[in-house]
Amino acid sequence: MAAVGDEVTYTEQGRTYRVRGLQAKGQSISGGSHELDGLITTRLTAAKTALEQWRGPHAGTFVEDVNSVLSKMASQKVALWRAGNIVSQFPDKPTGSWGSVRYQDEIYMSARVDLLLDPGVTSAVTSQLRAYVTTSSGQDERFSTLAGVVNLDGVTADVTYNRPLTATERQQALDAGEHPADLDVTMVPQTDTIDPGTLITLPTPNADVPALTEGSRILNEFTLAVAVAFETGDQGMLDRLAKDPDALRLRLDWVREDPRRWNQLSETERLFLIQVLPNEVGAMDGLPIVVRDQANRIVLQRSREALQSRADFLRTQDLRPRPTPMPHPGETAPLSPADELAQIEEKLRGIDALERRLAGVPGRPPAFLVGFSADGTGRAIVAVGNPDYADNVVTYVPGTGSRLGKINGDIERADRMVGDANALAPSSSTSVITWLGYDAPQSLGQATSGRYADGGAGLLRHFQDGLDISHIGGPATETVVGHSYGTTVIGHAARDGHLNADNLILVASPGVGVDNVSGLHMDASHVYATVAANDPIQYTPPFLLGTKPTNPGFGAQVFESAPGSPSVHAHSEYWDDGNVARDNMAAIITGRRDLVTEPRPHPTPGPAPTPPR
Amino acid sequence: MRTLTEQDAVVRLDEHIRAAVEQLSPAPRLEPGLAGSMPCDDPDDGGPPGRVFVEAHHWLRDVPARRNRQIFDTLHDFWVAEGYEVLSDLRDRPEAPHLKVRHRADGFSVSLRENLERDLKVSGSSPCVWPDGDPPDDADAVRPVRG
Repeated sequence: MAAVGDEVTYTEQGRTYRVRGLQAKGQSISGGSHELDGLITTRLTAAKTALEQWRGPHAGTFVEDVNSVLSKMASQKVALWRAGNIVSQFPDKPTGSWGSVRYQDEIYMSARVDLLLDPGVTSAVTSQLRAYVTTSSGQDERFSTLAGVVNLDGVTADVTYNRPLTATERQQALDAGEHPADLDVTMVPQTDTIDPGTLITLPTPNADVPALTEGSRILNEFTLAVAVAFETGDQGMLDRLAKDPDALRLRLDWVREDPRRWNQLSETERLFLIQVLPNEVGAMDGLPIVVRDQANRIVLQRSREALQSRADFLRTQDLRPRPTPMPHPGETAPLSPADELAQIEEKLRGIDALERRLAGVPGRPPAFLVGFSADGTGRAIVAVGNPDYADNVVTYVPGTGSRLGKINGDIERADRMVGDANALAPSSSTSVITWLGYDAPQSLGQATSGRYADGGAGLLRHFQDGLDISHIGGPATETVVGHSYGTTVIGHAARDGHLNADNLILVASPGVGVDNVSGLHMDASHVYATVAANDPIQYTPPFLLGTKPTNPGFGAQVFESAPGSPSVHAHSEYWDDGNVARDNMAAIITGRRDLVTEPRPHPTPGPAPTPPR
Repeated sequence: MRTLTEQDAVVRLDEHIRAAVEQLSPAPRLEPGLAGSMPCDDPDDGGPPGRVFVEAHHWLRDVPARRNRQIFDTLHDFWVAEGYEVLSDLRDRPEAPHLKVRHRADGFSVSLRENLERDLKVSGSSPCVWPDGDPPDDADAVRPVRG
């Protein structure tokens, strides 16, 4: 065997293999494959042992399916181990040939299993293995969408060997006068290209993959649940799973009917649900905030890996600007790779900022991830301070342009509102939740439509109801604060149902969907509104989103804000420390409405200060 | 337009706060509160994105509450003499009085607040600055306005 740079040549059974780019890849995989090997062994043993105890009425066909998949996985583990070994030790010990790792489907399955079984432990592994979810071809239909792929792009290989003559070659040689006996032993060199792209297929990135089939979903959850049950020694859960593979999901449905039932679950059941169904647990209004936080941190981590994988893939694509193709009627134009990459990178920056805040910032209350999704423009619900234990609970709904990539600024506002309230009234505690739980309009054009507010209204009402369910102790004073289009969401939520809040604060509203405070079905004396004298939002025509709540005829309690810079920038100065609006919001939030100041006449705005140089 | 850097703004804000506290005798002990920067552009405010406000809070400790009013008056007179514009003067309010001023030249605001337990806090914030002082190349591009 010879290695020159990153090209390795070795001969085995008369064949010479020449592989390029493998060393680099092998090194990156080597650490992960061994860890993965042990992990899969443990999980499979656990799952198989549990299966043997399965005696329930639904066992039947399903147990056969699971058994066949589990044995397949066992052999796939071997295949993956061999693949990992070959790749990682290739430069030193070519213990096998490429031919021996042609268990594509098995490798896919193993990687996928790893991804499902323990995303936390194996995040390093999966990032090295580049496991993706993709569609694979020609497999058992039930599992046809269930596959991970080890991405070996960047590796190229060919094999050179001697072969006998083909019939055509032999005929040509005979025609040329060669002796037939010589031709029987004549060998000719042949070089074939081995494309690792076919050996271990380049993935279709997971963002393009349709949802897993129902069958594979149940299997995934079941396998994981069994593994966790076995490891934690929870016989009760094993029995339930034996009766019905969907037991866990049914258990969660039972909790969903009344989230207070969460506390009736066993400790292991809670652990299961958080680990196995983090998306569902994280999104369930009414569950304790710390539970949702645990689940959503798992979702966050998975989303980060998926986005990172997609970004890595996109970086291999042609990123030159290109004209946007005309979409088919009723469809949105597909994003160019460059545009999609830019969006993902922005989301990843948002996730970075979110993770920093969730990790804890000295001098600030702990933060909790109450909701998270990276889909679309992304959603995040982040509490500063634990609302379950706070005397004053504030939900802050941001407006136009809000998205996961920009969540940092909104959480900073929440930090300030918490700081202001706790500074004003140290004897009570305040939590502020940034509620980006809806798809906010992303452009000014979109923000002229009430559609986004309608989309968020029901979700906001449901979220507010959930806060009451999970709150510990007496009822909290609940305030819902909106900025800009966020006030429109609040308005529609209050207009179309019962919005569970003691106070509304509508900051810089373009309209709230009603022409009078009575349309909000709230005590009018607890509906507050403000707008800066220099904020251009007040020139929004009323036929778009309704009468602005700062209009005298609307009937809200209008409070004072600083006039703001005589420029468009006044629209975002409400959270500047110098702005009296912040003091007023703190007074409302802490139940000291007597301290709220009314607007003062501002005849002419003064000149803007010269920016410091 | 070029501005102070974020770090410069932190220093300048601290100077504003220290200058105020130096007027007080005996000098209170400063206990740091919330500090940090926050994006000051809003996605729909039409301003160029990427700028930040710098903000800092300090509790004034070891101050007997009976001196609070005197401290309000001392700082009011100091700030007016130094050319600060008074933004909000609620010194006479029986509960949670406050005084907010802004420096006419550099746009920094400074506030003195008393909370419901009669603790005093001085805080301030910078105008919008570019983190590195320089706007990005496309910062002057006009964005549409509305919300």
